[in-house]
Amino acid sequence: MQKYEKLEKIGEGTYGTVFKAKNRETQEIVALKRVRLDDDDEELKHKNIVRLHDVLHSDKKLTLVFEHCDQDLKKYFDSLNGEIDPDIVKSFMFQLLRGLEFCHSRNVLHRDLKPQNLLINKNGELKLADFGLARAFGIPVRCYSAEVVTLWYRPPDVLFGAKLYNTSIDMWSAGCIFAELANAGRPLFPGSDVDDQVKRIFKLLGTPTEDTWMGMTSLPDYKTFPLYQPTMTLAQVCPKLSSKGRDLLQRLLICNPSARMNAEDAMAHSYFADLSPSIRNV
Amino acid sequence: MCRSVTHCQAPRKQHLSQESKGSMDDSALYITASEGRSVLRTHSPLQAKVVMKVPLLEKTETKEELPKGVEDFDLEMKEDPTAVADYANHIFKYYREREKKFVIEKYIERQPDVMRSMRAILVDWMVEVQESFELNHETLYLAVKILDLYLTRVIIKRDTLQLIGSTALFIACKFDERTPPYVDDFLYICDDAYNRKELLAMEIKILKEIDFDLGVPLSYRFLRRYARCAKVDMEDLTFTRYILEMSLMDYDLIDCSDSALAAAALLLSRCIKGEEPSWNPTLEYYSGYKMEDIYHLTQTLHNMISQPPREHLSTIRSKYSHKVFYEVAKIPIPEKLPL
Repeated sequence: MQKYEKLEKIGEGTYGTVFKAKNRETQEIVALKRVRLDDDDEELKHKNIVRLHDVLHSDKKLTLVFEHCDQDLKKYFDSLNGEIDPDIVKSFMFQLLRGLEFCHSRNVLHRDLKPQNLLINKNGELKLADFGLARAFGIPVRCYSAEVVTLWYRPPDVLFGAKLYNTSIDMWSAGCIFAELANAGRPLFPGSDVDDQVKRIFKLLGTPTEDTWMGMTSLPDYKTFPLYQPTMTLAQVCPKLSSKGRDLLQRLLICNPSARMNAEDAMAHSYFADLSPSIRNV
Repeated sequence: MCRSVTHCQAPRKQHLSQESKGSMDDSALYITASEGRSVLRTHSPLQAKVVMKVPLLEKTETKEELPKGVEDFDLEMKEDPTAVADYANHIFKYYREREKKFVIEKYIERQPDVMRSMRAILVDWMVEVQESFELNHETLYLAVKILDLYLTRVIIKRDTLQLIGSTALFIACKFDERTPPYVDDFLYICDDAYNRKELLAMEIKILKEIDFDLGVPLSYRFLRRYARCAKVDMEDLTFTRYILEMSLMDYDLIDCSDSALAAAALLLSRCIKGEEPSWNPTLEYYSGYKMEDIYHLTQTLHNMISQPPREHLSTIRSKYSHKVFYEVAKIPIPEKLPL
């Protein structure tokens, strides 16, 4: 631990404490994250993934040394006062999708995407962080835990107890984050419990049926909900989002996981046609 | 080795099961495509007809053209969420790229205290643990990789060999299993020859040596991919898995590429079963190997599988003699291959 000088406490998470620190040799500023002793991180090197520099492992504790980012998206939202530049929405969304595409094509599911776990830099970079719930998946995928993803960002299939899911699990969260970005930090589905969460989703999108989502009624925790008809359009929900943006959002927020758009296709969506090349080609 | 792995029988908790943790939903997934489709339809709650309310996007990019005679397996599996068809090809290309990072250098000359036969006994015991704890096969294969990766880096004393094997299994379980066994279970299977402190210290040591890099491409995963793409039936796949699992015990094969080993095992089983043709364009495409690329390796595996059984290395043979595994270990091996 002599390699790093602790500067200040940045945060406290489920898995431990995060400190800002300085590498004594290189003077580099890093984030030190101390976690419970049962964690493993898959090697993922990408500009939209927070970089794991080092692992310090002793019998009492495990410290993960990450690249330091200025703040997370949640804190960024708090500083906005309800206004966000549409180009920033586009840039952050694209970077989120690019980070996800990288994970998914390397057999990794994140399983806990939310604004708190997206770190941003002053120069407008966005990085996926906190792989504490992430796991490598095989093909065919096996059943994994249904107790994943923070409630507000959890897809309907997992809310119904699905243990069999794939990369589509992260795409739902990405959709929720997209709407939240477009509304400068107002969460799309801030449910108070599982039932309320499902209700909020179905009220906005309409209650799915076996016709639109075959297999839904046989999910482990399936419950019947009233057949809500959408009363609001996405244009009302995200008034500042362009029509192309709403089209993309609609393709991500699909209850049936098999019909949900994947990250690669989302990046190719016409919403991003006018994305600044400086962001696309980083 | 005193307290050697051979003395210490892992507790046999349950009957054999083809795929461990054999709840219906899990095992239903582990069927090759050919016979699996109907099963998936009834058992998988996520198997869904895609009804899109949103009109389909026009795709601008054109998909990579498949060579003549190759079936587009991923297109076929498009609607099966377990197949992750959008990413399967990507992921296996990534594995092929990544396996180069994990090439194992032969180490026995540098390990004065370890002999090849000891490694074989250890792997035989690890298979026994896999069976008794009903672990995924991926866990077993990963643990053997961790063992070999560690032995290429650290010179060890033979009395720690079983500790390394047990710890490797412990680490592999945490990487892949949904409910890994406890530390105490890994001490118990070593007949309490080591204590908790030693196991946890070994865990730290191994993880440091291998730089926490546990996403090792495994021959077992490659084989499943090839078999699914080529619609190999469950019995033939099981026979191939038997050959592949036997190869885990063979020190001479530790420096082979995992994707090639899987291909060679499949070619060998198809030759033995008289499959015509033994290699086809679909297998060539999805494995990336032409028959001549794996010819020698196939001969090597044939030689390995033709060796008379040895009493102290009998776990895999008896495992695959069971009905659950179609008794594939009893399939007679011809002296010469029709290759």
